[in-house]
Amino acid sequence: MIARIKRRRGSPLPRVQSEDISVKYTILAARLFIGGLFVYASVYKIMDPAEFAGAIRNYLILPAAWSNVVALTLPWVEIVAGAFLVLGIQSRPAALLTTGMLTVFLAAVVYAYATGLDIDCGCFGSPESSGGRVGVAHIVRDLALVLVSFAVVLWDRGDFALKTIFHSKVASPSSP
Amino acid sequence: MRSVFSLVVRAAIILICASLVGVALNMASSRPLPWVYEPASQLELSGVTVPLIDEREARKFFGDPGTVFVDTRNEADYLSSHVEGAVFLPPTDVEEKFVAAEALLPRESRLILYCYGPECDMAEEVGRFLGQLGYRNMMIMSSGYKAWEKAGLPVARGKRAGNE
Repeated sequence: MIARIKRRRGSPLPRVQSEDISVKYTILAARLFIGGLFVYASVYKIMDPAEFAGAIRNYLILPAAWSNVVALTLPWVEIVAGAFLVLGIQSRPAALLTTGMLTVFLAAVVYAYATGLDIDCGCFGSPESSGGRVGVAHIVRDLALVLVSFAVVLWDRGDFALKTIFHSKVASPSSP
Repeated sequence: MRSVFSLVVRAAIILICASLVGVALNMASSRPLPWVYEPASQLELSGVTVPLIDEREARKFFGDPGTVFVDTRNEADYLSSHVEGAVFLPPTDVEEKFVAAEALLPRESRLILYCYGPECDMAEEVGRFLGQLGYRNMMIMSSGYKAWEKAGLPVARGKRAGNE
């Protein structure tokens, strides 16, 4: 018993380190997940901004006149923020942007849910389009994404960033 | 506090630079999207010019005896609520459905067709069919039923007499 206590007292460092490493990997996973999701979701919007503009108009939140400008710029913010998160370039500012965008999407989904709007076709409760209708599951999913993204803003310490990986590789051959 | 400020500034720089990429690429594109969206003002359906109007313009014709509103949405949605006095005529089985609706659609009347919203093309499909039958005075309320309902304009439920 005493030996066990002694051992614990004697070696607090490895425990802290392992916790630290698990946080690091969790944040890395969050970064790759949110970043990958943003890159994936933005590609089709970049390919067809006119269609994305139509989807924006469908929400009836923004004035229709603004829909093109938003459709032309927002997907580029998404892809850049997403790519930065994946690569670990400016991870925290990028995560702040993804958190902001996800919060706006969450607000739009809550609004669409409150008005019973089908975001895919703009139809109200038509049986053929029930797949696109906003439900509680959409809201929970979006809320989870906001929290995961915000976790990167709070806890990312620049681990596994492109810069640090690059520096360590460059530094190692020159070190004695 | 300072680090939060620095974080926000860096995020803003990324936001602006990424947006500028989108702006630049649209300017360089062979088919650029106009910066300010303007909805098309009319369509050609079966050789008939059909003006596209919004719910405010459509409202001016509401109550006019020479105007009939035509609901092209699904039946369940029509029954749950529609523009007051609207005739039900969806694009699916339109010929069969037209038989039931024909008595309410005089050839000389002004028809205002609508479906769910701007992205829905069901009103266009019905307009194309009616154009082939010789209807010449048609309009499409492209903002759709959701805009009419949102504006608090008159609505009704259930079937309209003579439209069964």
